[in-house]
Amino acid sequence: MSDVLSTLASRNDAARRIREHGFWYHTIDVAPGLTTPGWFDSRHVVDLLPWPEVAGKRCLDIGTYDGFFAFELERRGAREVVAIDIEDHSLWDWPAEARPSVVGERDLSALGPPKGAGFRLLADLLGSKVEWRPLSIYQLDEGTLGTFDVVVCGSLLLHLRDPVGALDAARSVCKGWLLSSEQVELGLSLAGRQRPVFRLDGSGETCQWWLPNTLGHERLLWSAGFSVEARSRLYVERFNAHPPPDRSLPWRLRQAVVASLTRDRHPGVLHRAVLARPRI
Amino acid sequence: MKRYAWYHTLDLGQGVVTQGVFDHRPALGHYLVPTDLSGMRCLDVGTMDGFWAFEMERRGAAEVLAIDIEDPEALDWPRSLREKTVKTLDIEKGERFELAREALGSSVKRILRPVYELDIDLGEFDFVFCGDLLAHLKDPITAVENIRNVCRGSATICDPIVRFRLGRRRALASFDGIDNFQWWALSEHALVRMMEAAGFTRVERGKPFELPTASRGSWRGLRGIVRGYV
Repeated sequence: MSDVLSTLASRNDAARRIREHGFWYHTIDVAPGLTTPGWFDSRHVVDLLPWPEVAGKRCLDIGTYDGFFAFELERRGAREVVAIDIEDHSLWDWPAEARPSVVGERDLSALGPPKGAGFRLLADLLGSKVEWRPLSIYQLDEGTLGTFDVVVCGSLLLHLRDPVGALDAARSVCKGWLLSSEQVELGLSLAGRQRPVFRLDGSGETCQWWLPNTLGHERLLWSAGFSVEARSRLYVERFNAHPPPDRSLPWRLRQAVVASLTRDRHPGVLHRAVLARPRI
Repeated sequence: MKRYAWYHTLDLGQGVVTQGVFDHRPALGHYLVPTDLSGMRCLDVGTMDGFWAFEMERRGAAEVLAIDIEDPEALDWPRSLREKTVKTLDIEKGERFELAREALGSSVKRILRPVYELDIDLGEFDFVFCGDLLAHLKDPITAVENIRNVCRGSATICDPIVRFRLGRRRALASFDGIDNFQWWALSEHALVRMMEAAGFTRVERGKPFELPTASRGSWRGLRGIVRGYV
């Protein structure tokens, strides 16, 4: 815990700054009793991931948003952590119907202040030394950032038009391990265990493109030049401030299956993580 | 004529017919290409030997542009195939196209341009055709978005499709990118979804069909066909 929060006054100030920040994506503990109200809560996920050795390593967090995985890498003793994200919400891979030129800039304000603002606020409060850089996964190359022993990429590939190209770029800076945590399709994972299958979305404000089954996620990594060395079990990225589900009958049936598979009754998004290393 | 391994079966007149890997002639009726393209400015994306470019010219197009890439290394090869694939079919396509163009007395203009870099500097087109290309692309979405971007009328896309037991009416894709020169194998509805995602306001579906078995090679099989309107 940083000195910043050592007095009651500074603690109240921190609580106010967190409150006043328009949008939190991640749920992050800043101090006992002081936590960001993120859309998603990944705190329980940390213990489920197939982590590589992080202590003393140079690490990269891709698509860091509020920095959950970047701060976790630092907490695990990384020598250096770089976190990248795109600052401007209008630069996401929007489908045509949801492009800023169509829906207007105002609608993007629901996604909060430019990405990086929440990260910087937390870095300040946590006394973090993580370096934040405005960079897209597609732009990763050795000349810009050097190479990394550990690369983490969480819940990002589904938002990309070109996940293969993105992973190619990630591999170009990865000299050790890639920890890839992604949303997976429930039905396609259960029914298509032998076949890499994706659902194509490409619509709307959640900006989602290729949604894999578990094998599809692995195949994507393989074709981008990684081999998968370890897998997590299925888990839920829990909703926190995220709007609650509609609780319709199909949702409740689905939720019952997810709960039995993940041993987690919280509403959220089904995920799985794999640990991969460059094979070429 | 015989010196080349042809990709398209082309009827060049005076009894000369190239022996292509693909013969689209018996399936012409399946493709959602207007029979009358009079006065239209047309684009053929990934033209190879030029079958569709010449066909659009034959149907009265005022101007036909055909784009392709010549350097086989610039194709989205899956890593495992890049080294071991014989690339003659790609290396010689420019020569084959030119030979056919001369024989047909055609004025189609062929331009070297990857679909990923297709842009408005080539002008806008009333009709765009793109056949059997998306399956070979890592990033078909950007390709379709670029096609939409230069289209001021409609665009027809034809590609191999797969049928999924899991849901015939769902936008699904199986993913290869390893053993075959194929990345995303789309369902028919995924092809439609991709057109919609690129901003075509209305998408018409043709009846899926089998390319006739007269064609050689492993790429015959079920084709899906969609036409998007801006």
